[in-house]
Amino acid sequence: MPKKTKSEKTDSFEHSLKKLENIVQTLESGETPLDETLQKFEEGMKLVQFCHGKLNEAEKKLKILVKDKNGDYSLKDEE
Amino acid sequence: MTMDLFSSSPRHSKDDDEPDSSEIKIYSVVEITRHIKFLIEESFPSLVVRGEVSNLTRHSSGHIYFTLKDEMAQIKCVIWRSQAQQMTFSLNEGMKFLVRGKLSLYEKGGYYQITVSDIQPEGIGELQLAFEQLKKKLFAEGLFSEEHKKPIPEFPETVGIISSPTGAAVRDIVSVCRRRMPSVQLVLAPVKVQGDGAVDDIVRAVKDFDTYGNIDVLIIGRGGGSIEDLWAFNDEKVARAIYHCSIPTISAVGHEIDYTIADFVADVRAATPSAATEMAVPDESEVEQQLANLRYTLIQNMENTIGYYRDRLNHYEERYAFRRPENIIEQYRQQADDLERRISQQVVHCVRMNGQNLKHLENQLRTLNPRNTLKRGYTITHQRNKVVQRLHHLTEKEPATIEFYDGKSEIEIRKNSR
Repeated sequence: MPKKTKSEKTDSFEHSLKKLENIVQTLESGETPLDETLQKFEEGMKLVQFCHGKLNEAEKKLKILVKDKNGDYSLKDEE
Repeated sequence: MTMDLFSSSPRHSKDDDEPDSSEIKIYSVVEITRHIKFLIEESFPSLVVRGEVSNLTRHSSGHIYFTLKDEMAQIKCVIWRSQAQQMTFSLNEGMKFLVRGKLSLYEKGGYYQITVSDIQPEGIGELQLAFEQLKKKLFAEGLFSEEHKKPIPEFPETVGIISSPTGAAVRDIVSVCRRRMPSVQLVLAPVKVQGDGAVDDIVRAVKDFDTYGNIDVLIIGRGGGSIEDLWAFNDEKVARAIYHCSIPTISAVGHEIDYTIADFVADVRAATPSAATEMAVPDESEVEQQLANLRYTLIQNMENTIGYYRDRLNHYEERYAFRRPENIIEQYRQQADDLERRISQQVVHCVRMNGQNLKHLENQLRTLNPRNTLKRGYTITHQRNKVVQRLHHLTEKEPATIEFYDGKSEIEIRKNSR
């Protein structure tokens, strides 16, 4: 399978966790001005919350991929 | 060859079918050929021959021609197109096969051949051979090469499943996913995983997921079974569909020991559907731990940063420059204190000085007190409650008072004289 990496969704858990890791790394390197540190800290805490929220999302049902006559796809609950 | 040979030969044959006939039967080529054809085809309606394939020719018509041979002899074989299309593997020169078919005679060529109805590799199973051949072919094309392997995302939000809706695989995938991270969305494309239509189902499902797009990772699989049961996952069309799929795929076919073409072409091969799910879906508690670590580090960092700047601030605060205003104030305060002290001293001094003055003045005053004069013997004359300082103020024939130091005397003024 040829590599065709899809553009990453910006609101994905993965993306958020990466951002969080980057922020922590940046802060760990020291030398960030106070204002920036504060701003990054706030952003980081928001990401932590977001990630927790994602993890706490309710258990999802198994969905079935359905293709209609027009070739459009939709998901429906499993019977 | 002479006619003699033909005319004389029947005489030696006493038990000929036609002993009375002196005539020799003369066949046309087609007659004798058909006769032989009849004999051969009647005698061997069906047979199985073991031999090695050589002189292999695939005709553009789709028929396959080859020679089956052993050390001593060889026999021509043909596989008609309709039969050839159903073969799962392809013939290779030098390989040994068991050929089932009918012996027939090709009239135009004048030779007999086996019309093959079934051919199987000797030693290994037919499917095994097909598997090895397809594996070799796709490997040569580069479908299995590492550089095409896409990484499996660490945190998928939606996992696609291509499997039988009623199979054990789906149940396993769902239960493992629930256990590890229930927030992950599972989407199933129900397919037949074996038998007629399975290949087309799987190929369509792969393409559907790819077109649909909102899938982070795809698990293609089924539970265990015989090599025939797993066969759809060894199909070339399935392999190519997986290869062209832009979603990272995990194959999970059968048990630990079962390897399929789908396993080689997928981005990752999992031993079982459960194992595939563990690869696709992270464990929530581990992620929580990771998140907690990041959060801790973040807070720690913030505190460190604040501490660092606080220290720097304190440091600056202690510098002389920042202390100057304080100094100035203190100096002024000291000056004020000083002035205050001096003022109060002054006041005290002043009071004291004035006190002395006062006493002095008092003394002076005391000496000026007219009564002191009375002490020395002088008197003061009062008339009509006024001190009389001059004679002409004194009225004759009226009473007056003479004040002495030690008392007063009422007198009567008789006559003033100048």
